[in-house]
Amino acid sequence: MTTEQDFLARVAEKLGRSPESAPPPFRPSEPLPAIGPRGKDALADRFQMELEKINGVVHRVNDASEVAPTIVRILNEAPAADPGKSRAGDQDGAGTVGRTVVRWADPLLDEFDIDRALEQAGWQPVAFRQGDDGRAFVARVEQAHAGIVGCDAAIAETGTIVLGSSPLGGAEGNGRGSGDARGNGSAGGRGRTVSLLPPVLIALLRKEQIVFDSAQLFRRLARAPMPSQVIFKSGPSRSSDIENDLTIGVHGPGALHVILL
Amino acid sequence: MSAKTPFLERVEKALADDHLRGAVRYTAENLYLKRKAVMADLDVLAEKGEALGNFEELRARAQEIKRHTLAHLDAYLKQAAEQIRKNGGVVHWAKDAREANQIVLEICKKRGAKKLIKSKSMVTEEIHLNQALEAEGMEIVESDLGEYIIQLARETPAHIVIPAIHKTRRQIADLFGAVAGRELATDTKTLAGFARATLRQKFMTADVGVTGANFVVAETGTLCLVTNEGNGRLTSSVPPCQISVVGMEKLVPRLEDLAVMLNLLPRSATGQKITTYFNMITGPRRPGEPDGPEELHVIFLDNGRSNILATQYQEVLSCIRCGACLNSCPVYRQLGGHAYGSIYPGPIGTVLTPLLQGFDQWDELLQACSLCGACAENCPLGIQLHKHIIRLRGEAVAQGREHPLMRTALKAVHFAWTRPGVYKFVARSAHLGVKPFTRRREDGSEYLDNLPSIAAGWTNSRTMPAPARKPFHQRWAELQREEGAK
Ligand code: SF4
Repeated sequence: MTTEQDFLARVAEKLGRSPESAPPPFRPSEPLPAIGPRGKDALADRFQMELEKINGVVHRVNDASEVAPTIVRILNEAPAADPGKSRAGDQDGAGTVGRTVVRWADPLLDEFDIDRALEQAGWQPVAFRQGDDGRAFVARVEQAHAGIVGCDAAIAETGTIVLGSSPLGGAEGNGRGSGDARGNGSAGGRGRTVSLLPPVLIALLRKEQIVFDSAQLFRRLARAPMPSQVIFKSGPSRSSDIENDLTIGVHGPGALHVILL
Repeated sequence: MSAKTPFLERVEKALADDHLRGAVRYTAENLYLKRKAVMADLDVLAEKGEALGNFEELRARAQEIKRHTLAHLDAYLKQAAEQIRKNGGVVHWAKDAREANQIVLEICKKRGAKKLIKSKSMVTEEIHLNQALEAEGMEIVESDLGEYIIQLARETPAHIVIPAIHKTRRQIADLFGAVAGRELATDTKTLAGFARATLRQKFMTADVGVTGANFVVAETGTLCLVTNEGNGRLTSSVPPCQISVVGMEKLVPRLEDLAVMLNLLPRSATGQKITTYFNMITGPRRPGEPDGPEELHVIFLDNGRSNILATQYQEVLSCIRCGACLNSCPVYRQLGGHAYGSIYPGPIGTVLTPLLQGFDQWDELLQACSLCGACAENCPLGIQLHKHIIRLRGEAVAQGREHPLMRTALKAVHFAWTRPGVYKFVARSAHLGVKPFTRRREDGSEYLDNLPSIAAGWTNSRTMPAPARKPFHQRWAELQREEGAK
């Protein structure tokens, strides 16, 4: 097998470079420009417009107390016969989905009293607790009707929500849920699959978390250790692989609801 | 020398397949137009100060990033590897396909893994990973809807972004029906629903997830996957082990550089501003996290790439596999991907394949190009594909690879065109020379048909105007005389 030394030596030799320890810093001829509106409301409006263009649904709420009832309303209204609802083991996609709803156990969602509202409405909330078995958790997530997460950030330009497997660090001032975990280790109650396996995804976003473009976000990410997974999610899962015909909800959620606070 | 080469046979087969041609043309044109529209939007946004740049500006930035990275590739590879290890991942190095497959096999054996699931990746096609694993009795399932269809049909992708563009819903329903063991309806909802449910089960039981990577960020050791369906995310979230096979040219130095690439890739590929998923993976699952792979392996692959470094072709390594050059190529639109016979089809395949694998078998691809340059114009990295094709043609000729008759013919042309007397004679008598092949239309115009031997390519599927009875020089002189006489 080729060793790292041999592999790199060959590349260096081809390039006529002598093997060197650190790469030279990349300094583009011009820095990326600051672009787009700055105001919170303008960013929120733009985010909503862009997300709606790609089949996402935005629910605006003005008060934290409205969050839980909005979630319940979304769950109760979610379409019944959606291809996205088909579960493993239910090959027609016509079977019924349980009343389980999975959610992150995360400070981003703590203050809204979501569990109580869900239970009252006949839904069964599930979250990962430290010490739980990961595989068993994923199996439950797979059977759930919906996943509820909090956004770490959002990008207005493309209607994108940003979700980390642990909180993102590096915020300049206003970001909620930032900094405490410094990306390493401790924050555990989230789960990548919560935003991925259930057919419906509900994400909570605060206006002040929205930036205009991805460059701002990448700069923020570069300031702190990266979580093990960070995703940009823009609208529901889609494919045009069957005769160019657009289908929604191929592997990921078929419905994306963002509650904008 | 009239025996058909395998390439020409594939071309003929493709040209005879009306359905394939219709589907390829429709899809490629559709993607081409969508790309064009979204790039026009981008220019407007840039004008308003709402984009990082217009197409030209972003392209220049992307080129700068890639040029710098490739020029210091060993250092960036080293940095990326160190970061990946720091994040808890394992780094492997493979000089060729055989080594890469070997590494995957060994990881699987160590884990006792038998079932693998794969997200869409061209590089694993390049190394024929599926065959290598299947030969060892393992199951590997493609999870991208298009790739899944292709895998069931036991074919290769017809397009690098939309692999199954040539399949009808009837064919897809039959393929899925064979898996289901019953008849399936042909509507998209049923078919996509079936694939989702079937593949979901595969995901839940897979021992290993295999991915490629669109980008690797050197400063953080982050792997990036760009997908629409979410299969890349599933592959890197659900199975207990993730293996990513990465072409060594996929690096960018900094996270911020992703902003430039992310502005260009989805727009160029599918005409989207952004894809549904952009997934950044920095190491395996961390302590306390409920899910994600417990092991993450990254295999950096050379497989001929280092031969391209520091040559005139180096910029070819900056390709981000968007497929824009395919969609804009008049030859690809007629043929589709299969005729090329190579893993990477279209303009990029025409250049990359002989560079990676040598001219044997592949020099003919270089002839399937009209040098129109549409590919280079649309390429988000501005790769001068048509110029590389000319260069490679030159190299192939220097190695004596052209048709012997072609050499004689071109020598004759050279002889005539460098001697005015001979040139004039040829121009005047050309129509006599091709008389046996000249046909006359009702309107009196003449055309050539059924030309023999190496000239047959000109008239096999179209006609060619016949040489004028009076050459242009002669007519011009006569016209001038007439004008003067007035
Ligand atoms: S050569 Fe350019 S246009 Fe073609 S796939 Fe690569 S990046 Fe895209």
